[in-house]
Amino acid sequence: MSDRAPPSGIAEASAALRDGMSAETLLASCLRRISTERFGRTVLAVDDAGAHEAAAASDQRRRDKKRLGPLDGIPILVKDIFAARKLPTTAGSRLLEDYRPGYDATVVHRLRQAGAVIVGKANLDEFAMGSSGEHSAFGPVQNPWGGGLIPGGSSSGSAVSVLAGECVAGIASDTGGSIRQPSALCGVYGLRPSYGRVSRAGLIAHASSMDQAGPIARRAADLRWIFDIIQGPDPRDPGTRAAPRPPGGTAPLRVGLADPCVTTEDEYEALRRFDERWPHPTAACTAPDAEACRFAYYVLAAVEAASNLARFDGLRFGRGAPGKSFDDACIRARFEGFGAEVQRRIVLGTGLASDPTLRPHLAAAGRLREDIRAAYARIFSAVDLLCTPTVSATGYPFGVGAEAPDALYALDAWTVGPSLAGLPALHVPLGTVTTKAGSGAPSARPIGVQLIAPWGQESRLLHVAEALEAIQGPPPLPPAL
Amino acid sequence: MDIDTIRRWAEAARLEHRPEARRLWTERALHKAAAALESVLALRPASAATEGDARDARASAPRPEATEADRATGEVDRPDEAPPSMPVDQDGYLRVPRVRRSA
Repeated sequence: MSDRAPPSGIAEASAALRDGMSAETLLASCLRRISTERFGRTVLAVDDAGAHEAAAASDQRRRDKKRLGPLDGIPILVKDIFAARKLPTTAGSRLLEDYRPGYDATVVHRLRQAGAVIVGKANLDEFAMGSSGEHSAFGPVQNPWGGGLIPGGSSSGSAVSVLAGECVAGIASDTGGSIRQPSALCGVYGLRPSYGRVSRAGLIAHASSMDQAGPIARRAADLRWIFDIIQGPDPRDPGTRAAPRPPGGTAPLRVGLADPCVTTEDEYEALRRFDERWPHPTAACTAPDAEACRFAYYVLAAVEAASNLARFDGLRFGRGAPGKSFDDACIRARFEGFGAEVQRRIVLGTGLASDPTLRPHLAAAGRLREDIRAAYARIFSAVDLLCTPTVSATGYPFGVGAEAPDALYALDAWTVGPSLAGLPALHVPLGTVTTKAGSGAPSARPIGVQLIAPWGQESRLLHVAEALEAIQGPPPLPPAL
Repeated sequence: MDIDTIRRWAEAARLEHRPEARRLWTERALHKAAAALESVLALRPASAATEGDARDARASAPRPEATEADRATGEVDRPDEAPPSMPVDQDGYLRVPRVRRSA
C-alpha cells in the first residue's frame, strides 16, 4: 500500500480512510516519498514519533467509532517558520538550528485539534526571505517540473512537497508572495488570507505588518477546508479579527482583469486563459502600479525585518558563538548565523530606518502604502475580484539575483500589492504552457493567475477557484511524477 | 550609496566588527547591498516625491544645538515633536511660541 501515490486531496484521502485505509498507511506513503529527497531537501525535520502516534490515535478513534475531526488522519506538512512543540523550528537558518520550542503555534495547535497528522517541517528560504527556494541554510529545493528551474519561495519546500505527494496539504506563510509565488511556479493552489484572519502567534516574524499564514494544496476545495480550521480570532494574536458576514446574492461575481498592466507573453497568456475559462463576462481593470508596490514593500519589509531580527543575538535568542565580549560574541553569532540575503536585508533596513538621508524614502513608502490601499478600494467599488498574473514568467533558472539582487526582488512584482494592502489573494493553476526557460529543451511549465478580493472576502476567491477546478479538473502533474 | 556607509549600517546592525577589529563584510557583499538599495530606491515613482519629502527630511535632520542661553532658561526649540498637522513656516519650524520648560 505504501508504494501507491498518496491521495491528491483531503476529500480523496478522507474517502480512502473511510474505506479502510489506515492513517498509518497513508502516513507511510508520505514518509517514503520524503525519504527519497528526489527534489532536494523539501523537508527539514520529520516528526517520526509524533506523526506515528497521531496516525495511530486517529486509527483508534476510527475503530472505536469516536467523533472524528475534519482533518482526522490527514498528513500535513508545516513550513519550518511555525513553532511546533519539541520539533526543530529553524526558519531555514543556522542561527536557529538548535531551537526546539516548548509550544505549538496557534495554526499548528488548531490543525492538531482537527485531527491532522503533522508530518514534519518543510524547507524555506531563510526567515522567509528570498523568493527562489535557494536561500535555505540547509540546501535548495528543486522544482519537479525540471529544467533547472527554481521552485519559487519562500515556501519552496511546502509547494514542492504538496505537488510531489509528500503530504496531502501544507501550511505556509506569506509576507510578499511566499505562498502564491511558489504555488504558481509549481502548479498548485495557494491562499494568502486577509491580514488578521489567521493568527500569527508562533509564526517567526519577518515583516509583522504583512506576515500571514495560509494553506497550499493540490485541490481548490482543500484550501477552504484548511482555512476554515485555522482562521478566526486568537487571544495570543491581538491583530486577529472576526470574519465579516459573506455577501449574499446569486449574481455572478464581477471579475476585473488587469490586462492593461501586463507586459510579458506569460502574463498575457495567464489572463487570456482565465478569461476563456471563467464563464461570466470580465472587465478590464488597472492594477496598482507594480513598481510603486515593490518600492513600498521592499523598504517597509526591510525595516521591519531589521527590527524583528535584532533579537537574535546568540544569547537571548539564537545559537551563540564564542567571543571576547558580549558585543564580539553577538556580532559573530549574527554574522555566522544569518545567510547573505538575510544579512543584506537587515543592513538595508537598518540604513533606511536610521540614516537621515534615507528617512524620506521610508516615509514615502508609508504614504504609498496608503495610496495602494486606496487604489484597491477604488477597484473593488467597480468589481468583486481583481485577476492579475501571479508571476511574470513561468520559469526562472537557479542563481536568479546572484549577481544583481533586483532580479530576485522582481519575482514578487505581482504579489506584493495585496500584501501591502492586507488583502486576501489566491493562486489558481490554469494548466501548462510549453516554453523554453532555463537550460534544456522547451518543456511544459505550469501557468495560472492571482485572484485578489476585498478584506475578509476569502469566500469569493475560494468560490472562483472551486468553480474553475470543476470546469478544468485538477492541476496537471509534471512528467517526473 | 558609498560602501563605507553600508559598512557603518552593518556595524549598527551588529553584523560587522568595528574598524579597529577584523572586518567581516567583504567588498563584494557591500557592493551587492549598495546595488540592492539603489535598485529598490529607483522603483520609487516620481509622483511620490512630494512636499512631504522635504518635511520628512527636516524632521529627521539633526536637531539644532541649544545655546548656552537656552540651556540656562530651559528654553529649546523642538520642532520635530510637533504633530504634522500643525502649521510650519518655510523652514519647517512651527509658528508657535517657544515652550518654556521648568529646569
